[in-house]
Amino acid sequence: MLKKSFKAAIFSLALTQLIGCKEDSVDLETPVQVEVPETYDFENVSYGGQTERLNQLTEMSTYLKTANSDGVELDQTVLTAMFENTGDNANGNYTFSSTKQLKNKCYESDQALIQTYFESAVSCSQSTVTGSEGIAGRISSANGEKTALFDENGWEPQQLIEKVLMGAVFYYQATSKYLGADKMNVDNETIEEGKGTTMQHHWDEAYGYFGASNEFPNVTENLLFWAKYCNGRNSLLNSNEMLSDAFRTGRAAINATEYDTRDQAIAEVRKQWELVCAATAIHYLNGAVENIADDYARNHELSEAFAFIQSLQYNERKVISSSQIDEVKNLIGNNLYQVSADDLASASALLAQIYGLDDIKSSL
Amino acid sequence: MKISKVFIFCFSAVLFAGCKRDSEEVPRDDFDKAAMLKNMAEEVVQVSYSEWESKVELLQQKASEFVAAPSESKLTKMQDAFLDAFKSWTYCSVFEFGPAADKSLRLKVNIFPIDTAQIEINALAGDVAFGNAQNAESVGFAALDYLLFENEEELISSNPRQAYVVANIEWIRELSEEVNTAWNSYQSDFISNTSSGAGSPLSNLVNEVNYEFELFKNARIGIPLGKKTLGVTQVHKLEGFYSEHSAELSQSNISGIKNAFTGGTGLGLDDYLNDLDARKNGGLLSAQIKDLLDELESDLESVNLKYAIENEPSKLDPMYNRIEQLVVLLKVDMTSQLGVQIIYQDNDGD
Repeated sequence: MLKKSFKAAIFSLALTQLIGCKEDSVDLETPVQVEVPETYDFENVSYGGQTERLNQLTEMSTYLKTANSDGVELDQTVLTAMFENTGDNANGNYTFSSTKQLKNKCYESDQALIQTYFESAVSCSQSTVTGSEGIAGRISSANGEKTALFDENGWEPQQLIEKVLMGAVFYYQATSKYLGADKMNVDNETIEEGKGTTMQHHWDEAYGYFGASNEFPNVTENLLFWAKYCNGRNSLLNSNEMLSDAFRTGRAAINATEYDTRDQAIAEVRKQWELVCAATAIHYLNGAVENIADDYARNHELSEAFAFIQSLQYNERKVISSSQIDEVKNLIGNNLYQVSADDLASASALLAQIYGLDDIKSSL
Repeated sequence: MKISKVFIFCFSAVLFAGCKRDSEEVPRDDFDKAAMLKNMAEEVVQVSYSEWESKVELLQQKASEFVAAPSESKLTKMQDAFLDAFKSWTYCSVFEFGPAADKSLRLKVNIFPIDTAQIEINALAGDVAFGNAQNAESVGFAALDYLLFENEEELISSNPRQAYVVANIEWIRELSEEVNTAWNSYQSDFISNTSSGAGSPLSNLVNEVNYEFELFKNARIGIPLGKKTLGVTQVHKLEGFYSEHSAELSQSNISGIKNAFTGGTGLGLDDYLNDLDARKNGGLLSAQIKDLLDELESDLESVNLKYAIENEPSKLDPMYNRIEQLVVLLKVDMTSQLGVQIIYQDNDGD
């Protein structure tokens, strides 16, 4: 099917070239049909730099989680080296070498915030007592199966770091940078082997930050970060198809130099991705309400929820306003041991109302 | 097997893309590029630089008079002369090829936003190592913008502060003289090379028109307006923040870019595009570019950028949309029609 559509496209291109050059006319409006392939299996797709950054965050998270075990202290210099990818492999702390780094792609104003999370993770990891209100330390789940590290107010640094970086690097770069005007108003004629045109490449890089393979959504294995959460909400939002379709449509439109269609796809990617982010925040807020009395589960889920709410801001065309983000955050407050189920339900309801998710909010 | 479908219309973009590839192989060559370059060198670049140099000399004169007997009225005269010289520079900023490129003139003459802490250190010392990396962000017009308009009383009473101002003006004056002189010998090289490859005068001109316009878009408007910070405005990053003449400086910058594009009353890139019958959506590309530049000039005529960014940033969005449209016309359409590659890079990589 794919081959056929390519052939058709080539034929129609050749035809329009002939007509165009012969008659030197510009107002010809022959409708042609561009087929969007069912996977992201386009020519010259390359997003190695994005994959490397996803892998860096995976390894940073793995390192942070080592401190969920008693007696394991984190090292600030290791975390900074991982953020900046010092020496191309975080001074030997990454298992692979790369010229890419997370820090220089992180939303600039929040790079310092990440550093404060690192500091918190390091100081919490030095705790030798069980965590509780006012005391940083490790806390286990009610069934004893899981343990994580929390600060004195119940925040889990590992979750804040991982999820806010998902927002401030991956989501920000994809929706605000690569799909932004500066990266889209570029050459779409000169094809570099393996990378396509500059515009195609920028689009592919945005896709690369999503964390799915080119076979997504037909294949939903080995999903990373955003793609994993997208898949997590898929049964209620149909988000796999919605987001993947927007990405494929945009790339096909770029291939066909149809920029109105591309611009619609940009708006759709931003919208659907934001919806995944918001729905995931609601999901964790709901979880925290259900587990309000379980320190481990409540603190863990609220740390996740907060980071997804924080991440909503990184989309330059976000639906939610900055003051609404603050409103939701304020409902959670600063001390996770002092939250009320009513306030959390209000936070969840407010998000649901903003995103038109009232019907499914309790199922998320 | 599910295939989602999008119906698209095959507009002129495809036609042009198709035709252009042919024309690249057999370039039309009947446009008198040498005449265009001659006009550009003699009537645009050199006239503008001479004007700039004379405005800086006038500023120097007003500064001498102020320092000889500091007073509010003499400060006002110096400030007026400064704004004239500053505007004259933003007009010239686009010509960063040949001698200006050799000297990295933009960076030396007008880097902003500035390092006010370093400026205060320098203003106490009075004696400043110009060209020193430590002072990269504390010299030039933007530094003078701060020194002349922030804390005027201090300037009237402080000798080292005055000495720093005088030295700063001399630093700019020397550069204006050097670049003007250098053009006299560079001119013949500029006119005689009519190729369009990387590093050729035509390529440099096209690249710098683009680069300067992107500086306008980002440094002068977009960054202060919060376009790089998810809508969080950064008004202190405006050019001319202290004198509060940002819009005039930007307007002069656009006028300079327009002149570099049109060649004034003589031959310019617009004529070259017309000769190629370069069109977009049916209309002449050059006319669309000129119209947008005219609109931007008039946008900037009636706005106080500082006030607008602080109080009603969304009112600048229509202007910013025009700026974004113009980037496409200049960077994608014009370059492809002229067969010139953009050789400067976004410095942020993959």
